Amino acid sequence: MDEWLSHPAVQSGVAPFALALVAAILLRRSRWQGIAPGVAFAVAVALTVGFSFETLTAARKLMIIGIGAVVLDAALPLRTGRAWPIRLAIAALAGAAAVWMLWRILLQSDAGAAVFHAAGAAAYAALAAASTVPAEAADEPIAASASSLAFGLGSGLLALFGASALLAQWGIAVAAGAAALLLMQVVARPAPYAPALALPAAVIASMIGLLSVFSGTLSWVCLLPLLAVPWAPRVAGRVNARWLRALAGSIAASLPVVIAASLAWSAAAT
Amino acid sequence: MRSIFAFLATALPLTVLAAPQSYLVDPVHSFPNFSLAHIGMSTIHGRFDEMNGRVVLDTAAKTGSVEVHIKAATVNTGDAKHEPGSVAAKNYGPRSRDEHLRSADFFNVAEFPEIVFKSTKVNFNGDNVESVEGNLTMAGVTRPVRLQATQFKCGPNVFNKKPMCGGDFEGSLKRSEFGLKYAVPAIGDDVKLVIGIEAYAE
Repeated sequence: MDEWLSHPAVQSGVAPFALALVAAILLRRSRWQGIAPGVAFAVAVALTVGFSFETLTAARKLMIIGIGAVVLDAALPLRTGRAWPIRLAIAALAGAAAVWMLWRILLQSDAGAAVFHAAGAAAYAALAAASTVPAEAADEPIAASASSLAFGLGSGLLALFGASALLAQWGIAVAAGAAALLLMQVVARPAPYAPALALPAAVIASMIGLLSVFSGTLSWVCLLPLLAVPWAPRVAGRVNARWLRALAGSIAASLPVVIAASLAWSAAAT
Repeated sequence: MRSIFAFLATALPLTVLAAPQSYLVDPVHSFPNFSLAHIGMSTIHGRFDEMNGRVVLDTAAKTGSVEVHIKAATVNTGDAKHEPGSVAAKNYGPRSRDEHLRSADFFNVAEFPEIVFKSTKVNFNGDNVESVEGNLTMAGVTRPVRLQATQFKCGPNVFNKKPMCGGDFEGSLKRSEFGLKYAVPAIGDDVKLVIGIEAYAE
């Protein structure tokens, strides 16, 4: 059993998907169904390095930020007004979280470089998080789940290029959780959902990307295409069949991931 | 009066001999080496290429102190870089083991660029150091470590005649106790340490 649980495919794929699916099934009639990617992330953390916070490293701060994003998304009220106040607040929180996560790394640089890097990191996290808040009152859940899947997968792939297998596993786990959620949305009757369903995945994935840059060998340029992931499924257009909507949305969301991975591959080759 | 002078004449040299002697670690000949099991198949050996510090020994009083600083980014396990198109790149991807060890998965050098050992006690066997006990700080976590001398001596360097001390020290630790838990047990938790150190009198 221990050997099975130690396998990376189980830690980042099988177990997160299974438990996220259980959560999505149990919560299918509630607005908290969207915590599935967060459940998957927590499972991957538990199986890989565990929840230990003896020294609050950047990776451990990422764990806290990820759980926080899930709680925030679950707590967001079902909105009927304009999107920009919520976007602004979420953007500010995400930006601050990114700087907090990278704080000890930023302190290793001189002041000018630290401010520049902090601003860039905060901007990336803020844009990624804010883009998950849709213009309409509530998100189209299949599009949001498709973008969560792509964002998680993209960040996981890029983490490999950043020389971190751990962060890659966490990113892939988020994708596995989003896949479980997507499956439920395709096979089951639509349920009320949180207004920014893709927020937890976008926050976790953006933090994984940033940590791959700052503590690994990933070039920051490779992160930029992932900012298009939350928007990509929306341009795929609306089709009636849920399964077709899921497929089209996932393919559309994967295109920025392919671009990002290609950039990372080219950077690694040179 | 003569007896006082006689006493001072004999006691003063002894006071000089009893003074602690400080030694600066020679980074060219001092390396911390480590080894651990790899997927139950073989042992991976590595070392850190840069170590500096200071050793203070008082052989008369049988006391001393050791403080060394190791640059974590200089970790070297013989897999520094995967050239594009190489066998290593094809089999294991574009990133090397040393790059992986520097990442947040292991030594996390971006956050913790130094590994530091500070002794709490130096144990002597005669005039030679027998063992050193102290605290090792790695990846932000501090744990006690005991290093046993397998050899130790002080004397003039045979080439430049400068007074120096040197020795080999062995110890062990569990990397999970320092928060370096990734891939345990596939990559061994028990790490064997072998530290070779040479230091010149200041």
